Amino acid sequence: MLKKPTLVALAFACSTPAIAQQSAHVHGFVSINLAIDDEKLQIEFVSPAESIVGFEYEPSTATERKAVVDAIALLRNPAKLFVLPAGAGCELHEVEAERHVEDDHEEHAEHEEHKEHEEDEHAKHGEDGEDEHAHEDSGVGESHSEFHAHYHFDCKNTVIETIELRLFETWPRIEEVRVQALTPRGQVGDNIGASDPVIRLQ
Amino acid sequence: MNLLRLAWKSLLNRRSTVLLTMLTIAVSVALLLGVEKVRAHARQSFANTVSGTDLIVGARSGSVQLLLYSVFRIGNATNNISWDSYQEIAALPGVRWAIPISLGDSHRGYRVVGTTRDYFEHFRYANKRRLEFSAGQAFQDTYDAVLGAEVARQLGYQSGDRLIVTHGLGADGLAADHSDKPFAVSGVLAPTGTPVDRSVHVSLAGIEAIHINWNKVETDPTLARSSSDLRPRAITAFMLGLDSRLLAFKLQREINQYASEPLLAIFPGVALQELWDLMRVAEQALGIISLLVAAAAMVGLLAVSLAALNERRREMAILRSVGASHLHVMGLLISESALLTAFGIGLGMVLQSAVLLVLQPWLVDRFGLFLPFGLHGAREWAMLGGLLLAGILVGLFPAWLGYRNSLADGLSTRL
Repeated sequence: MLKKPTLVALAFACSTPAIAQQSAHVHGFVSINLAIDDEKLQIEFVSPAESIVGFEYEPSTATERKAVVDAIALLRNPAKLFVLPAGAGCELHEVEAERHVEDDHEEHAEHEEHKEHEEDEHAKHGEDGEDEHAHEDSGVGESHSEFHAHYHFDCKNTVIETIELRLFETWPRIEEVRVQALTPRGQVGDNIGASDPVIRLQ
Repeated sequence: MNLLRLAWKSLLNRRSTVLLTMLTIAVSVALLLGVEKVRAHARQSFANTVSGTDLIVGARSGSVQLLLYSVFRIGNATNNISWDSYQEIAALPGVRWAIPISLGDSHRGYRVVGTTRDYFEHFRYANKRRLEFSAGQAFQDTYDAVLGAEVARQLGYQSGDRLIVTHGLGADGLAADHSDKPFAVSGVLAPTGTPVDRSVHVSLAGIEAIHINWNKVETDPTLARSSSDLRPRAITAFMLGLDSRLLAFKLQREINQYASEPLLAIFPGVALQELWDLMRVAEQALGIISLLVAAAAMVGLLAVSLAALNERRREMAILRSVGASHLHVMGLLISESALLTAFGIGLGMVLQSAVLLVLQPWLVDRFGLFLPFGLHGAREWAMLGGLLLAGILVGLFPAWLGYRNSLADGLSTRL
């Protein structure tokens, strides 16, 4: 009988191959996970760094470093990414945004802010497409990097029907957004492109 | 004389060709309505089947595949998952309820689902409706079974009846009867319009029991009954309900990275959407085909009207001679076309319902697809209205020819 892993071990199980469907690292493809429950709206955003700043290696020049800092600043301002309906009365309660570099065994993240849930973060980091490409341990080269952001809103009215996406304008390299939404009225999965940048929650 | 009555009598006079034309229109209407019904209701029907389930967990395969075999009982699992994994995940914080499912056996063509009493407690369908018993209660004993409404109705079972479960999925049970271990019906569920209606539910211990020594000649059921071996070793999949949707993505990642066994957790609603994306091309193709069939029916109507017109020159001339104006003659021809189309539409609706009546159980069984009777959407009414309008427009052409002919015929001296 295998030793039963504890919850913490589960959360840190970073070496497990990723589920491609969940978060393959494909340039131009962003994933947004959205959940609404009990007057709370939570949005997770994951994008390949290439689609936002145009490169995935460690920023070395001043321009590159500035690009990363600017991207994180933009990510921290959700109004640049999506527009929630005014009627929902949502207030941003908490935001986290970071550039996340993925190696085979070590995880690096440049945290702009990191308030809570150490465990969550690591659980999340483990998933990203490690089986997609071979990695080298050098900072520059073939390692992938991504931008991750979390938004927590408190909303007065959680019957949200549509959310407009602005990130196609903010970052034109983004081609498609894979949306998974869990709402009180059901689950929604959709692929959204720049021609019709609206998430429809039924 | 009333124009419509005249049109009606005129149609009756040519009943064989008219009936055939009407049938052509009816078939096209049935096809149009059928395709529209599948388009509009398949999604709703599928969504109804998994209402209230946050996550479905099974062996690692594709999300659509897991959805199909676990919920709609279409196809088979690639692999089982261990009971230990199930118990560990069911005990994770944030999990409100878990329903294990064990598939692979059947009773006279109906799938047997091994599960726990939580199934009757937490499973939801349609708009978060829970399962109701129309008779009896949930299984208590290892050898108790709860029948879906359709199973009980088709096979005529009542509470207390005995039934024998077959290993594998054969319809006649020639291969491997577990006849040494009969099950007693403890309850019958009320109809749901989902695959639940066509399932036989037994406890997980019951599933284990029928597989203990099932190939040996001599087995004492009482031995198996008391044995602790009835603890399940593996199940096919399980459904999870969570305390909060906000935990769902985190939990999904944890399950997908589960260390001791490759598992896949899916959001049923999202997987359904993926399935839908796959089917969209087929759906569009069907829509185009049904439109073309409708167009063919209209061309048929035109051909029949034009052919008849030549034979009816005398009729038109007589009408004119008894005082019918040109407009009357035109009106008559248009009314005929409109009436014919209207009856064709009516017949088509009946035809479509009749086909549905025959196919409904099969659709529920094979595809978990429940299609209701009747017209439901504005789109359906718009289609029928459009078809009627097309019928009237098609009537205009012979009407115009008839108008011209009646003028010429009236002036000719040959009559």
